[in-house]
Amino acid sequence: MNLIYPRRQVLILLYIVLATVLTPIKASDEKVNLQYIEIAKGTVSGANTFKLSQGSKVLLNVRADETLSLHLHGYNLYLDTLAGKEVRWQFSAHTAGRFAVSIHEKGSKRHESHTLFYLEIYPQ
Amino acid sequence: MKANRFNPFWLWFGIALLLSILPFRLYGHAFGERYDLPLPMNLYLAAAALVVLLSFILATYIIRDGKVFKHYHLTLLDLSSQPALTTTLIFLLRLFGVLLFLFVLACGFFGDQDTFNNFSPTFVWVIWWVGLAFFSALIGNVWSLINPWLSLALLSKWLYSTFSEKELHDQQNRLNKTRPYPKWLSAWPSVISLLIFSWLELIWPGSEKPMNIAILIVLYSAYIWVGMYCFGIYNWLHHAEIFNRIFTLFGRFAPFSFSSGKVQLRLPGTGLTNDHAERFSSSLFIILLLSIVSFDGLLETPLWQSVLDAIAQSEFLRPTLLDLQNRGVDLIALIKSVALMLAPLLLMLVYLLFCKLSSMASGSYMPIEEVAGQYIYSLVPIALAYHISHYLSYLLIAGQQIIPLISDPFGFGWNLFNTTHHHLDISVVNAKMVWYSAVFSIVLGHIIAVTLAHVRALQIYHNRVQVFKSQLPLVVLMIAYTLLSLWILSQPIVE
Repeated sequence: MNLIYPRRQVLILLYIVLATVLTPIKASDEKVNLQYIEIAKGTVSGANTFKLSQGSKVLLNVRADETLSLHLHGYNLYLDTLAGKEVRWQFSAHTAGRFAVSIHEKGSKRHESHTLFYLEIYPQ
Repeated sequence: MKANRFNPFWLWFGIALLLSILPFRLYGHAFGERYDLPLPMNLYLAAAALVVLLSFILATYIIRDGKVFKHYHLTLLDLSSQPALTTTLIFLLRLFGVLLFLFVLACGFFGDQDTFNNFSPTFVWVIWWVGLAFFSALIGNVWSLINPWLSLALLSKWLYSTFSEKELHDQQNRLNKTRPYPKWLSAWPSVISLLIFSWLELIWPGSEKPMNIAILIVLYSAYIWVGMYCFGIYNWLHHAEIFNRIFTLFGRFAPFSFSSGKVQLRLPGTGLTNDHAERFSSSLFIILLLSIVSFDGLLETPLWQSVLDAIAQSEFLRPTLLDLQNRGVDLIALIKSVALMLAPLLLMLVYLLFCKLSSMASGSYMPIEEVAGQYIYSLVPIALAYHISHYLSYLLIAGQQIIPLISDPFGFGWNLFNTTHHHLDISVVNAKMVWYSAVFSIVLGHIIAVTLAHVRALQIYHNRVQVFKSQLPLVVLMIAYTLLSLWILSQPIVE
């Protein structure tokens, strides 16, 4: 039997295989920063500054005693917490700086609410 | 006759004090967020050590005569032989300044009143106030070329002289003869207006509202033009127009100078040399400016937060504070206002103390006011270096707000240049670059400051031992001042 494999399909297949094999390798190279954050009565327990390194993958496990909408300034990311449950906030720390996380009040454009905690992302 | 003299200082002081205790709700300091990382401990210590070491090497070995710092002028462009071209260029710059001035007013009065939808707040506070200070210090003083208050005053004078030539001669004579600038007033108008301006900028929450900005500009214009009418355009410009004084002062540090049709290159800081002692009010103006620069940073440190907490929890003050709060006074604004008043006084006292020590050490026993007036300019590079390090990333990040606003300055939903969808790119500044440039500029500013004071001392005293002795207290003061700047930069920003 003489099978003729179309060249283009082979290349695409090869690419998909390589991509799936290589992606986890690349991801495992990236440092992961895992932090647990407890919020009770509108304040964070313990230190209110978390130090992370730039280029890492950030995993924030946030547990709050009420349903809140958190806003990470600068990165402009939002997270809704669930009362009494742990919620994971995941993003890549692409830019260095000191960023405030505050409770976002729906409907207001400005963030006059107090800062809950800071993320300090240090350059490598 | 002396008894009849009315000193407006106390009137203005009273007004400022009254304003400072009026109840206002506080929304946190100047808009535009900051994402600066604190300066790392190792960089902080390295810079501090370098500052101390270089100070003494400079003071003892390097500067033996004033020549180091004098007259290295390189003329880059000479238009003095082409008056027509120079006049046209200056006219265009002045026109640009006036149009921008009218535009900012129009946006403030007629545009959308949301701070972030209106061109005026970002333009005035970020581009003009912070940006022009950078430009003046790092490139050159352009404010004197674009100052709209000066341009419009000159224009009205020109119009007046063109259309009423008969009366002009009498008028001018009358103005020049009957109202010379009073000597006792010296730079006091600028001291008072700078104090009011700094309160409006740093403490008053209303400073972000477009309409308020426009109203303040109108009030300030009235103050400038009435003064110019009474005392002569340039008299009032030099003694009372605070932005002229500030940007000219910063511009004296700059490497480029523009004068009499020439663009010249010089060593940074060389323009800050002086050949006479400044009057006390001028020294106070500079001290006030320097304290405002540092005050802004101090208000963002955790130390300030703990000071506020300590005040709030003090048993001694509690009854008074509670009473004030019940009357609707915003306590934080009140404490900040008191601090804003005290900061320049404290800095002035410390400065005078070290001036006294300097004059005692040299054995010359010069009056303290005069010593203060001799060395006042040498403090400017330290403040500028701090200002540049503190605001670099702010200017580059918050300054981007102007990009979408250019397309829709009034907030009417226009998209003139197709930039309304620009989002702030917070990655434009590299954190490490900000750290290293901060350390570099702080150390360089300090070196220039020490050199300037030394050069001045070489002109005052002719004995090398006297020069050396007079400089020791000043070097200690400068090290302390520079370390304060470094310390503020090493603190996390808390808002």
